[in-house]
Amino acid sequence: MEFLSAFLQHGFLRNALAAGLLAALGCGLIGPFVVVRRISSLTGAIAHAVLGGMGIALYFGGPPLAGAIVAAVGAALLIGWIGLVRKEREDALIGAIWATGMAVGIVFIAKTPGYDTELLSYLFGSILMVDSSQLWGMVVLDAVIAAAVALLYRPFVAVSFDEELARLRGLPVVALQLLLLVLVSLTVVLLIRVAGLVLVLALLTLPSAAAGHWARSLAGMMAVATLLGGVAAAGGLWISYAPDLPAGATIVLVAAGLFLASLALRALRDRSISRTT
Amino acid sequence: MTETVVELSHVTAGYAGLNAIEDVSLSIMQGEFLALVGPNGGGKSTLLKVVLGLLAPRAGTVRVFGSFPADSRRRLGYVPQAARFDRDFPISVSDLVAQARLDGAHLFARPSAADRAAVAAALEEMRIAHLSRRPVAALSGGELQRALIARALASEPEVLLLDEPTSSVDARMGETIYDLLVRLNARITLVVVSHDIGFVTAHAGRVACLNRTLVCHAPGALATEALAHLYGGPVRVIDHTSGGGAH
Repeated sequence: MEFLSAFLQHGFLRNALAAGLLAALGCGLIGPFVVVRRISSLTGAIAHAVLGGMGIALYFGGPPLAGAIVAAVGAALLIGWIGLVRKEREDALIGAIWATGMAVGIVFIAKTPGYDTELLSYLFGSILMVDSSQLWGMVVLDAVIAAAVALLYRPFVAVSFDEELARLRGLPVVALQLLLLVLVSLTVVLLIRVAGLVLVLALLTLPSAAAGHWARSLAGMMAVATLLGGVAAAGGLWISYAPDLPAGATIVLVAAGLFLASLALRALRDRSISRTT
Repeated sequence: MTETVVELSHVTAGYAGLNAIEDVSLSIMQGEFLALVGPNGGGKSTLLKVVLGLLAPRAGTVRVFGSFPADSRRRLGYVPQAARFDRDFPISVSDLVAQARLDGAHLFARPSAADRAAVAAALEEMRIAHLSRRPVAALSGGELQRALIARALASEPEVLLLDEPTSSVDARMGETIYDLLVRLNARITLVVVSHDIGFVTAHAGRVACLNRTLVCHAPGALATEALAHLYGGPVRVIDHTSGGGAH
């Protein structure tokens, strides 16, 4: 009740909930691809590269969001080029981008006067500080992601499931794969405000992995993951309010709780199926 | 006169410095049922990929319906090994089969009535129409194999290339699959990669044995002796001819 009255009273809580739900939509649309393609380490590398982009943008007085997008998309295309075009092992590059991006960010933020405290909010999120201009930025990112997924759903599923068949059908396989990685990187940027770059990976994988326990299609997985992400965002905010806990962390913890509950439910279902057959 | 649908002449191809096939010349005629046999690593799958235009040959020429493979691959259907797929991928049988109707020239297109009809006909022909809404994760090996054949059929190919279509199924399902293939052969040229000498000698019209080079080449019924040579010892062939379908 206390949370509800505070929610009605304070604009920052309404903004925070809106940011959480907008983030849940992006996660729900792109997270399933991260899960079924098993590219979570690539996603982690993109998230940490973002810090480098934001640090450089802050140092030179530019908008951090632009720095974040450039770094995320650049990291995604570089890893994609090595893995998809040159067909080389990308894991060393993933590790290098992960660590280097972070190091670049720490150095530039340290040398930018007055921004030392910002570092923590980039790492762990600052959903309570979201203002309406940032909300509009999230709406635009969500719209781009949703439009791309709606237009190219079947080609994206085909290249994810069977790249060879996609080539035989004349699909532009490399372009589609790179576009998918760009969408992953935009989603990472979308989530930075909510969860911070350290926790982004959890929001991109946990709701989708839980959805994957039950969904029969990637579209179904997207719907369930969006719903679970929304529940995690709202639930995490609510839990964080009274004891004044960091909301990014409580949101991730609720998502982890939902994932574990889904895992347990599925184990129960499988056991009851094997008993009846 | 029968038309040559695939013509390989002196083809060498492979991956990463190794030649999986060397100097292979082979013609595939319209309407035939050709089996490609040979030991593991003998280059059978590589040969299929060269015909499909997925792998460019290092030497030699490949012609499919008289043109480059990449230009005529829409007339080919390909059934990859079932074991290659991620069974946890959330996709239904009908969505899997509908993938064959995708077209790079119409990337944003929604499935048309013709697409849906082709998918339904392919499911019917493989006798898995009742499984159309089932997720791939819930299929048996034989059901998945038939779904993959249905997917290739949904593109309405003139030539069907199958890579080990019976490797992930039991003998009985293998026989069912070969019966379905023999039926398809009435209108579609078949190229089947197989380990299964028994099925192959019973059903294929012609057998080509591949161990990096093309080591033998014989009508199906006469292949046993040549295969013994290929595998370096006597081959025990289980007689499947009594079930019918022999050529």
